[in-house]
Amino acid sequence: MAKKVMVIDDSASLREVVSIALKAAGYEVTEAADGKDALAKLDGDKINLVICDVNMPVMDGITFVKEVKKRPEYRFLPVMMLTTESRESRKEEGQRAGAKAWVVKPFRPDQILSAVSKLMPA
Amino acid sequence: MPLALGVASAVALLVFGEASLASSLCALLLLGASAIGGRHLHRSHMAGLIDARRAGADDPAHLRRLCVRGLPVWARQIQTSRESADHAVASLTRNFGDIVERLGATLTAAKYSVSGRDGQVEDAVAAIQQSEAQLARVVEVLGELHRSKDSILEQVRSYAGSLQEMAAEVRHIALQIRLLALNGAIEASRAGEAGKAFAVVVGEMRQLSGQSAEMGDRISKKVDAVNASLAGMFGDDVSTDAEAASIEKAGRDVESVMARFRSLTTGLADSIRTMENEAERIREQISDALVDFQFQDRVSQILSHAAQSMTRLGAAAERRAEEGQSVEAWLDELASNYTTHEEFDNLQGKARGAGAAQGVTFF
Repeated sequence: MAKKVMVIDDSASLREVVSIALKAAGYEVTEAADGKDALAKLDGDKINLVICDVNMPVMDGITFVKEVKKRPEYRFLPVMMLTTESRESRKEEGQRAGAKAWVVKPFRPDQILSAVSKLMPA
Repeated sequence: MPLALGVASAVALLVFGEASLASSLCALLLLGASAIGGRHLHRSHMAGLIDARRAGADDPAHLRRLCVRGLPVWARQIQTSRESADHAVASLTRNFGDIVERLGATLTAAKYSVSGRDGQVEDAVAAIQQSEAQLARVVEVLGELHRSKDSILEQVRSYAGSLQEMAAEVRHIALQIRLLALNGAIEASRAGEAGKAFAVVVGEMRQLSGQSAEMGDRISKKVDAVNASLAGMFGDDVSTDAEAASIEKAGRDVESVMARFRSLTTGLADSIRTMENEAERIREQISDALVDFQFQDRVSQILSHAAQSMTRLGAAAERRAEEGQSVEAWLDELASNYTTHEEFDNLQGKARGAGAAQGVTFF
């Protein structure tokens, strides 16, 4: 059974680019436009990993990670941040929130796939 | 201003996207959107300037009113352009994604149409070679059967000849017995009363001779009938030679047809391999183009921050709050919302450098 990855980004084209790479590698993908949308979709779905943008309207990525980690059932759900932010202070913020990796855009699909397989071994 | 931002974005896009097809398309989209936005804005901006000049443009109060009215308009124009570009790039990305997917499906279908279950075109060539070998064996077996038939026929004909000779011998013996019986009858007659008993034996011998001759004739007729039947079944020597020639020709035809099949299949396999390589290259190029589309996210964020800054400046001008705020404080506030290294470089008036370190950091 294919592992499921949730891609959260307010940019539809970015979600599409990430989804294409993941689907080509055999992952199942579900998408959300922001943190709040993602939390709602997370409840009814079995997700193995989350790839999340940082700067989003409604609910940003850091807040989303904090919210997710508050829930016992998702305490160990790996979250990878995918953002244009490269400032160390923001990375540290993400790490403190509970993110497992920080990828700076633009990315190559193989970078994402390599990071995904590292965070979610087969 | 929107036109300038559009031009700047398009240039940035071409630089980030390394002038790829996707980057060029999106640059055109941004330019188009900004040109439309810019034209509307230019009209309202010019109208504002004309109003201001009419009312005394040197007055800072007029400049502030201009900011109050103009900046929100600029912000909305930027926002509209950004949303249009977002929408268009998302649509382009989806379409390119579909192309990649359909290209892969078409390629797989083409491979399966000329190959085995595992989709290898080499299997088709191997299958043709295997069929060729099997058909060659069939022709060989037909040849062997033909040769066996000739051999059997020859043997049967030989036996028939022997039987004819034996029948002739039987007839010859019957003739000699008949002659012997004739001589015996003469001698019995000469012996008079004493030869009467011998005459009875001679009579029996004559009957036996007649029966033997009849038997020889019947054997000859039967052998002739068997020969006629064999000729009917297998034909004469001419027809068996024609059969041999036909089998040989069939073998050559099978070889020729299979050679054509092999040539066609090899050509088809080569075409599919070429198509596969080309499709793979196209897929890679489209994948690269999709990666280039990520520029849109950065451009969108930069435009979004610029629009937000304009809105805040407009609001500040309305509140006259800028009078109490230093330029540095204002720039610091701007910077607090920035995310991309390009925005920080622009804020500091730097030329675009190599950019921040990219890649993956694991915690």
